[in-house]
Amino acid sequence: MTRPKIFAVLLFLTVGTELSLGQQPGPTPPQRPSYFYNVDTERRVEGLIREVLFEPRYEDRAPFLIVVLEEKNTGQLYKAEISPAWFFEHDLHKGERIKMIGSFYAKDDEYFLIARELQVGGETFRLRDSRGFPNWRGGPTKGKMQRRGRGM
Amino acid sequence: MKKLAVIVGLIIGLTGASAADHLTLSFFQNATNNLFQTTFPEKDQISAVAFSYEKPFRPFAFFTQGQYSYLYRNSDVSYYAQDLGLDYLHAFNEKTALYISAKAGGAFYRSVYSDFNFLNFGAVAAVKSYLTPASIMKWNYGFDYKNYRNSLFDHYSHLTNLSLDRYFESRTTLKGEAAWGYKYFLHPFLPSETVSKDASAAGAGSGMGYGKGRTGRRGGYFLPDTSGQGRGQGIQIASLSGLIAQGVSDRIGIRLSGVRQWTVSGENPFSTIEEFYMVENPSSDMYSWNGYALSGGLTIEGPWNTQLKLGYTKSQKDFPGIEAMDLDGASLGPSRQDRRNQWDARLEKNFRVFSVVLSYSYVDNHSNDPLFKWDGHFLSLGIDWNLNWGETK
Repeated sequence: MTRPKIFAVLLFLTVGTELSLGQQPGPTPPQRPSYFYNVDTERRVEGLIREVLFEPRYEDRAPFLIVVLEEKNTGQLYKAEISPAWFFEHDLHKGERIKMIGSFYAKDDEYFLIARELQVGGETFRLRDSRGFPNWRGGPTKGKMQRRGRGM
Repeated sequence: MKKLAVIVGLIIGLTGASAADHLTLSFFQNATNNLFQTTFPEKDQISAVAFSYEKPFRPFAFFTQGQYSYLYRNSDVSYYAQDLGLDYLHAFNEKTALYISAKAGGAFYRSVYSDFNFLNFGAVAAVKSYLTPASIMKWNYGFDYKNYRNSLFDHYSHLTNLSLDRYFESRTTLKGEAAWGYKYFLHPFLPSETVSKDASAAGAGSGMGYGKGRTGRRGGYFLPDTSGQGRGQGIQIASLSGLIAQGVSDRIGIRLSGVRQWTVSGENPFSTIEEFYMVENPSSDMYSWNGYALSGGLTIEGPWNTQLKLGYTKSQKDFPGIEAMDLDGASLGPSRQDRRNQWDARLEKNFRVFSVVLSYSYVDNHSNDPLFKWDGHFLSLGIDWNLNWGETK
């Protein structure tokens, strides 16, 4: 198989996959829990981390890192759900200033955020794409094989 | 035929991924003026296409990733690598979590480099614990076993490290880490008559390594060493490292770090070590050196979802068991010692579902082995494309 043919096949596969995914985004569950990522309720919150803890958020799923965030101007507290696994590679501490974009919901007089983007320590971390789909590839072993050497 | 196998592998990967939650595709085009990192530079370009995908498989998660790298001028070094595994995350309580995973995989090179084809199995366990809300302790342990087409390189390794950090309200993070590792080559020595036969064959351009006879000094790479028989097949290392990171503003971060590594026991059982394009191989990895590395980095969050990272690393490494030689192959006496300066720049621009990354590195390597006095430019441009579907939980 010649090199142009190989790239043609790859291009077909990637474009074809993207198109099919775009047409069939997957089955929609009949009843969504209150804590799905809703892009219509996104808000930007800037403040200080007051607490960090590990907490199961979804039945039978890995625990998430939960950050209690105090908003800078209002003093309002938010419980922000960060991600599973990813937090093993990236460290968040009490006292760190953080800017967060996330999907907001309220429950039992508490404010919650599902984080999509974090800006902390001079770096930005995008945990979800702009549609709210998870981007994290976490854990100490994942994502290490890619780009062996200089960009390979 | 092998290209066809690669395509089939990618098709299987992508087809399997069609029922997945998260798929990432990437394509990187790379160029360098010194592929084999020697004083005789060779230009080449590398196209690398990769995919990775994850799917929760309660209570585990399944992950797999594959990558094909094609070299234009040295196509015999092109390779495909694939791994897959399961991982599991568990919170003991609100402050402590456990991560474990097991994976298997392999790498498959074209003909000339095929001695380095391997299958491997690995396992990882890690614990992360908040000692206080501003202080984190992490412990990692990893086991790795690799079985090579050329059994000389077969080995297993254990690596464990313990780190402790502390964040201060001045936006300063301090971190210290201690590590210990042990690598054991199962059977790295050949009978002497086999070695002399292989060595002459390697000089003619076959045997281990790509052996192009660029210098006439060592046609083949990674010659096994019979004189070392009895001196042990295990290499034990230990290291201490530290890091200080400072947030200057919300958009600028600075970090300085250093590592000091010691060879506690053993030395490389092979008589030469070389790498190409910074890709590790069985004789040239973290177990092959002792010395230190210091690095500094600056991260700037720019406008329009851009991120710029600048870095500098200075290192000095001694390679126990590896003699420095002149270009004719005569021993110069001391063991090989390299001093390296490396500058890196990386610009990333994030779009809605994909990211574009441009990176450049310059490496200036000094060595008491004249073959390894070299410098090189490395340029890379690529795209990471995230495809997601299913629930937005």
